[in-house]
Amino acid sequence: MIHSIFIINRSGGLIYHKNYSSKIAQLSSNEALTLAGTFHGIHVLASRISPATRGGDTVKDSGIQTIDTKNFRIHCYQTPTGIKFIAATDLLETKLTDILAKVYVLYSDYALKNP
Amino acid sequence: MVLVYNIYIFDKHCECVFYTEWNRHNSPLASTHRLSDARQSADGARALVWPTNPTSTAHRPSTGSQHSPMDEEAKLVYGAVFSTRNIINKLNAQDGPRGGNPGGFMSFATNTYRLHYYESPTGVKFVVNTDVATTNMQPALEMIYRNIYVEYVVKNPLFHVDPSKSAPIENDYFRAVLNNYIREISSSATMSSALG
Repeated sequence: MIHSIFIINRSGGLIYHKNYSSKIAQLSSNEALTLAGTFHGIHVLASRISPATRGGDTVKDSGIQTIDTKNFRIHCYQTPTGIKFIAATDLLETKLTDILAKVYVLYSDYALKNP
Repeated sequence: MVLVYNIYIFDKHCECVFYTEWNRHNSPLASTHRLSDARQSADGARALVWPTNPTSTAHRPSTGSQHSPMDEEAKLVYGAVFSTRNIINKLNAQDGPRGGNPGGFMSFATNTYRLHYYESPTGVKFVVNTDVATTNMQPALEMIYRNIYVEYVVKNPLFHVDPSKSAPIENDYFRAVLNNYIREISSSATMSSALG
């Protein structure tokens, strides 16, 4: 059960935000913008503070992929071009990468390719 | 099999008062630009002793620089954890910097590690980095707070000199008990045997 979706561009600005259920707080547009910017920041911080990357390894840290809390889970899918698709769901969803990848396809088809 | 990389403890004044690493693969802040060899664990000959009191005689880096890589990294870790906690609080409609983690932030994961977070009701924050497969360290972190931190740090009559200032934890008993506990967790097959 997906509660809300955020789409963030490569510089951290919020492109799209929608709530699908009432279980998550209804954010004003200002709050949504600051939340997106903050998330963009911690996404980068998480790869910086990684204790598990070796120097010279090919496996680089990808940044935050999930955030677990007591009541819900946040999933993040980052495209190779730097766009982040974030979904807040309940705890039953463990991996949303496929769904968020489909959202990316829809976004690029309908939003980016629209002349 | 839980693989614990390191632990940070922050007090309610946002200072890092304790840090230890066990299986870390890189040096502090080496993950982006610098190539580095794998560090030895805290049990090896080169144990990282940080943070230290200005007046203590414990080993300090000879450069005397105010902003060692460890300082920088502790600030980044605290910033990441504090901002994530605030995002969660806002999404749960619980605002304000109250102690005790009202939004219930537990952990976040990247593809290389998972960071676990526990906040005591008094605002002491415990951050532990483990491998990605370890999903729930909340009981372990609560054990560390309740049975190790409270017992060896809070109840130590020599430690609480000035509650309005931050002091690094330089307590060999605390360090030894924590090392034992983490070693128990890392080698036991299930969590419950270590919690008994």
